[in-house]
Amino acid sequence: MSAKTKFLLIFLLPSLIFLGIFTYYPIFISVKYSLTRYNMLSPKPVFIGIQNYIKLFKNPVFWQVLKNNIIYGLGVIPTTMLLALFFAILINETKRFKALFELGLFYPLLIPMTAAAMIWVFMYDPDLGIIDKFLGLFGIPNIGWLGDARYSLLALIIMAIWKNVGYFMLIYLAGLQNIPDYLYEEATIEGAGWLKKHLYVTWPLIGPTNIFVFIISIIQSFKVFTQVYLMTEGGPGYSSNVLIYYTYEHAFKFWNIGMASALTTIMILFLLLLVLIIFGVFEKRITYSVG
Amino acid sequence: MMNRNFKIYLGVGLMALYCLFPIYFLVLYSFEPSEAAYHSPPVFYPIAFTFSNYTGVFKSIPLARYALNSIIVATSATFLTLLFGSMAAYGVSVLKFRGRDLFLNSLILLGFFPAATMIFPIYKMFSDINLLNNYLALILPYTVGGLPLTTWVMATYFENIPKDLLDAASVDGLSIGGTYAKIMIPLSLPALSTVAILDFIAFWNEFIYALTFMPDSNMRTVTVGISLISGRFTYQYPWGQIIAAALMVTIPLVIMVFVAQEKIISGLTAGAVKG
Repeated sequence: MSAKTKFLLIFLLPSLIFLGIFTYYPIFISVKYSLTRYNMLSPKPVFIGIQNYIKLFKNPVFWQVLKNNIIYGLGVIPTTMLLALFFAILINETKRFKALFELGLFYPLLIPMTAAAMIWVFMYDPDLGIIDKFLGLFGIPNIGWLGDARYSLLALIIMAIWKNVGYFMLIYLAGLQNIPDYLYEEATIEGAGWLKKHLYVTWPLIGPTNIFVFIISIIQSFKVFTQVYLMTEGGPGYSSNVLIYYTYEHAFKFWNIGMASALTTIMILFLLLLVLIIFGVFEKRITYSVG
Repeated sequence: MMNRNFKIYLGVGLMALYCLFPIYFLVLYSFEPSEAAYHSPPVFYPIAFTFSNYTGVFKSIPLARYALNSIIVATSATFLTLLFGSMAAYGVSVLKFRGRDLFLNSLILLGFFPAATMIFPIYKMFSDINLLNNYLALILPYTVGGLPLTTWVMATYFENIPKDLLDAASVDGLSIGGTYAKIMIPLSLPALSTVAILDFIAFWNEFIYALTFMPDSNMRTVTVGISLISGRFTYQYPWGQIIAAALMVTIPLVIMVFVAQEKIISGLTAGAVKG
C-alpha cells in the first residue's frame, strides 16, 4: 500500500465509520425489522415477510397521513417560494435599512423550532391567542386553529411559511446579484413597468435558484416533526399527522417496532427515489460554494 | 419616482412587520405579568413591567443545567464534525482517487435524509450498549448529521486553493498530513468558521434526538427543556414563562448573528447555482 493510499484511508476513515454506524447500519436494521412481527405482544422479532407493508397499505390512516404530507408540501412550498422571491426583490431595491430587514426575515429561522412552536400555540389559542383576537376585530368568530380538524394542518402550514421565508429570501437575494443590471436598464428603456420588468427579466433568470429552493423545500417538507409533536400531536384525529410523526408514534407510543420499521423503510426508499430523480435531472446545475 | 419608492418601502415595511411583529409581541409579553395574555382586546404596548417571568423560568425548570448540557453537546459535536468533515474533504479534493464522486454524492444524498428516519435503530443501539442519557448519545449522531454539509462546503473550498501552494509544500518536505494541518486548515479558517456557526445552530436547535436519547430530566437540552414548561390545559400554561424561556434560548444564536451575520448569510446561501 502506498503512503498516499494509507493517508487517504486515515483521512476518510472517521467519516466512513460514523456513516456506517449511524446511517448504513440503521437502514439495514430498519429493513430487517420491517419484515418481522416485533411489538409489545411479540417482544422478540418474528419473521413474517411483507405482512407489515400489506397491513400498512390496507390502512386508510396511512394514506391519510401520506396525503397530509403532500397537502403540507403543496401548501408550504409555492407560497414560501413566491413570498421569498417577492421579498428578495423588494430588499434588493431598497437602499436604506437593508441589514435590518434582512435580520428581521432571518430571526424566525434562528429560533429553535421548539420555541417557535410554543409561541405559535400561544398565538393560535382560541381564547388567549392574538390571531383569533385580531380576526375578531373584523367580526370573524374564533377559529380555534389547532383544536379543529379542518384547520390544524393549515395552522402548521402558515407557521412553516413564517419560519422558512427568511432562508429562501436570502438564497434568492444571492441569486438576484447574478442578474446583470443592464437587462433591467434595457427593460426600463423599452417601457416596461415594475411588474413586467420582473416578469420578463427576473423570473426567467432566477430559474436555477428556483430549482435549488424547490429541491430543498420538498425535502424539508418531509422532515416536519417538531411542530407536529408540540402543537397538535397529529390531531385532532389524524388531521395533522405526517409520516415522520406517524412513524415516531409507532415506535415510541405504540411500541410496534415492526410497523415503525416498515414506515421508515418506505420513507427511505421514497426519499432515495426523490433525491435520485432530482440529482439525475438537475445535477449539472447545482454547485456548492461559500463566499 | 417618489411614488415607486414609496410603494417599495410600503412593501418592505409590511414584510418587516410580518417577521418582526411576532418578535416584538414576544419581548413585550415576556415582561408582562401572565394575566396580560387574558386582555381583550389584546395589548400591543407595555402596560406593566416585571422580571418575574424570567426568574420564574429558573424555578420551573433547571434552565442553567439544560444550557450546560446544550453547550457541551453542541460544542463537542461542532468540533468533531469540523475535524472529520475537513479531513474527508481534504481526502476527496486533494488526493484524487477513484470513487471520489461516489463518496461525495452518497454523502450529499445522506444529508437529505431526515435524522428522524433513523431514530428507532439508533435508539435501540444506544439502549443496548447503555449509552442513553450520555452526552455521547447526542454528540455522535449530531456529528454524523453535520458531516454532509461540512464535507461538501470544505471540499469545494479546498479545490479553490491554488495547487502551486501544495506543490511548494511537498517540495519543502511536508507530508500529506503536515500539508493538511499546517497549510490547508490555516488557509480555510473563513470557511471553517462559517460551517462551524451553521453546525452549532443546527445542533443547538435539534429536537427529536435530544428528546428521545436523553430521557433523564437532568440530561435534557434547552430546546427540549423549554417544551416541558406547561400546565395540563392551555389556559393553565404559564405563558409569560414559556415566552421568556423561548427568548432566552435564542440568546447565544442572536449573539452569533451580531458577531457574524455576513458569515452566516454566506453560509446559508452556500448553495450557489450555475445558470
